[in-house]
Amino acid sequence: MTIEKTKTIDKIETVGDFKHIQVRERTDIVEDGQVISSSYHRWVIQPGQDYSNESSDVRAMCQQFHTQEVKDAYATFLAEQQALESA
Amino acid sequence: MTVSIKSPTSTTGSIQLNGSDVLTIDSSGITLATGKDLTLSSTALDASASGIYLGGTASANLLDNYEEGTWTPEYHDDNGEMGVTSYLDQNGYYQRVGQYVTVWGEIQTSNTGSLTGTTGYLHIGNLPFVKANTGDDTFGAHFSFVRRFTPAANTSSPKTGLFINNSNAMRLYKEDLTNGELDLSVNATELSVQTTTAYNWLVFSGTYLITG
Repeated sequence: MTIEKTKTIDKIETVGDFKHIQVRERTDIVEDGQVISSSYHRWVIQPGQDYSNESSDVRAMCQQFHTQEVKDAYATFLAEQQALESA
Repeated sequence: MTVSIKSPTSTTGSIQLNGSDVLTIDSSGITLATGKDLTLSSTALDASASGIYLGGTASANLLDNYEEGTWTPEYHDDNGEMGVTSYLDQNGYYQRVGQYVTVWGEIQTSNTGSLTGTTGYLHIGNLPFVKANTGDDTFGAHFSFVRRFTPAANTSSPKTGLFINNSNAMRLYKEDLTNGELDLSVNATELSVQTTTAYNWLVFSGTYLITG
């Protein structure tokens, strides 16, 4: 009997007005080739956030969607939000 | 007790118990007779392709997503920079039902850590989903355990959080002790770290609407 744990990025999606990248990692516990348990772990990459430590697929998505125009627009939006919250 | 299969036409049929239909099959699909339940003893129902209707068949009755998992909470400031160098605990959990996600967990700085380049207000970031832009502050978080912040004079430790539109972060708020209003942002520098006996600790939960 062999048991192993595998981790896979099983979902990468862009969401919202500013192309946030939502990433889901699936962890499978596999016994003799059969998945006996699975779980998810999630994180999000915002426009302008450092993504150099992400997987190649995630980096490719960030490069495609997080253009300078998107990053600038998101920075402006956040500044407006901060101003509203501080008012 | 008699179980039989009845197929009066080439396009309809049924499974009967003692001469009465229990399950019918026709061009619209499979229908259980009134009063009959579907029981799955060992295998879950797979409705992942389209979801499941509850309480009606309008789009507003469709539950099309459920998911649970973990995430890693972290503090950041206005610039989204990670101002804390070391954590003792970063335990985050989520449960998504439709377009709502509930998050809960705890975050605790390490007494060996420090703050670096911190400016502006304190946030808990790295939430598992982006909050939809609802245009208001209707989605907040509750803090059930708060320890070892260093609030400014006449202000409390963090008491609540607001999920930020188009973001995966919540901004922390505290009470103005001079008037009892819960409307002051928590400064990022109010985290207590780098002491040998005290470190910051916060337990939270909250629900928000997500994008998509």
